[in-house]
Amino acid sequence: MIAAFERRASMIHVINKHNRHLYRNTLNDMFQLRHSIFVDGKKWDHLRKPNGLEQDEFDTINSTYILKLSSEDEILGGMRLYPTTGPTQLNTIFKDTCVLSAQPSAPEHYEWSRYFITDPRHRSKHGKPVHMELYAGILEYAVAMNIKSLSGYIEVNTFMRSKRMPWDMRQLGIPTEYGGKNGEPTGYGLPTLLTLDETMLQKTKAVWRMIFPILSLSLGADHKDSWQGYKAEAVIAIQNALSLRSSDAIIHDLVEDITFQAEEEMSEYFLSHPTPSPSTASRYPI
Amino acid sequence: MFDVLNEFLNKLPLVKTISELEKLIEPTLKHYHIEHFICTNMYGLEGMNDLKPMFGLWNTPWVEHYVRNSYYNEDAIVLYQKGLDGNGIPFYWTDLIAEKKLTKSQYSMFAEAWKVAKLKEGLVIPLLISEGEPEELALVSMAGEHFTQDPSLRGILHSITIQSHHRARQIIMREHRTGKYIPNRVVWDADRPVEKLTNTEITIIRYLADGKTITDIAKFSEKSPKTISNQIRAASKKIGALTTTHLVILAKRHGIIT
Repeated sequence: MIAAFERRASMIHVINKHNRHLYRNTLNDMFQLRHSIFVDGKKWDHLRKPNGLEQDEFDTINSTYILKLSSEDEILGGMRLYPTTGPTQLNTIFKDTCVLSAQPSAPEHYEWSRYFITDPRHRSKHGKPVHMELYAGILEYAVAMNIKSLSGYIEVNTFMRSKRMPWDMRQLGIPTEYGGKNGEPTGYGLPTLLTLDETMLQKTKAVWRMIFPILSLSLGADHKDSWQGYKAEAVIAIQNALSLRSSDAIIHDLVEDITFQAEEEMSEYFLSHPTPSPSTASRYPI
Repeated sequence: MFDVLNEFLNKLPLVKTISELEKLIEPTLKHYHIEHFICTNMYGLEGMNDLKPMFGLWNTPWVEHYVRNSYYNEDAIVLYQKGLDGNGIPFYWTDLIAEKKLTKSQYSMFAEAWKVAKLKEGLVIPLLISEGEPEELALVSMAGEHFTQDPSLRGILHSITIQSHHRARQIIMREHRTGKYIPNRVVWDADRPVEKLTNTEITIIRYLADGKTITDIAKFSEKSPKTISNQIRAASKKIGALTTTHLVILAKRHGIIT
């Protein structure tokens, strides 16, 4: 019943070792889509596979996939999380790029990679582009699962965009070119580390005007609140915080970190949108 | 090689004003052989009523010369920057000179930078500030006599640029919010009075603007090439031109010729 409800909603889904059997077709579609995007589209030929499924050594039972699915189960975007307790991209393939600091290696540190969006113009029914929901979903998940940081090798332009967010994203190395071999295009990226906590999630969702949880219910996780998916303590706390605190208090906390533009947007938003009461929040279709 | 960058990144969050930021940037960049540094907000540059450096503008003689003569209107770096697709990869001055077809005055600018300011190589870093319409770009250009192409050095300078730009933006936005006036950091005096040229000097400049050589002008005027050269030198001195091309540009700018 819950699964049927969720599958109708266009939300962010978390797929891991606990529930991947329920998403077998979706995962297969994702690997096909990644092949189409990264191999056919970006021309990363070294990832080409005869079966048309883009999978590498970091697609294992320990991988977690965060996917934005449409109400028709169409994949609109995704990202992969991988534990740092073993081999990772940053401690193998991109090890030499970490010239400022090494990637943290611990159960609470994860690596993110294979970010993709199929249609940048797509908007949710709340008017949010896929990348916002995807990142917010990843942060919700990470905070709920007590993940302290996400590291990964990202494009320089993505790093610059991240600087506009109230995020503590640090460089582990300097911008360098990669690829360019055997006819592959040359990219320009750097290794980074994003530190996470509940405040950061709260600020991110405030900047993006996301008041409610956006993760779908998730089945099978060994989390004490798994009966209600990842709408766990952290997410509920944010919901409560936004319900109880005045918009002035929230903005005051953000002033030091966010850009003027974002603050202006937030001010406009909170002026024109009354803070939802808990009863309104509970009617929200999560 | 990375110790100085690490030290810079550690100190950056403690910086509270643009002035403090510049004091932090300057020795860091000089450590990496940078002697010229400018970061401007590219938005609105076309009209050029204002030049808005986001941070860092070393008041070197070259920068003063560049700004005073409105070189940004014709600078190949600026024009190339505007046509970028936003991939964010920095490019070197010498690569731009080698790969792009530049106009005579654009070559002349690089030649002046080389000869006058001894800026033999430079790096330009595109910074996409916003992706709205129109796109807002920041231009960071840095150069030095002993600066050379090196991928690691480029990565270091790009890191300093991104992080400094972000910090500068935070500071400027905060000051703007609190009502503090952010002055333009360039005193641009295009209308400064110039010493009056003689009719003969103006005529020679007109000939130069028409593409005539000193020999051509000497023939028309029935004077020796040496005399024409002396008159060009005198005119250049009066209006602060460094080359004959520069003399023509300035004469046009000041309305001496049309």
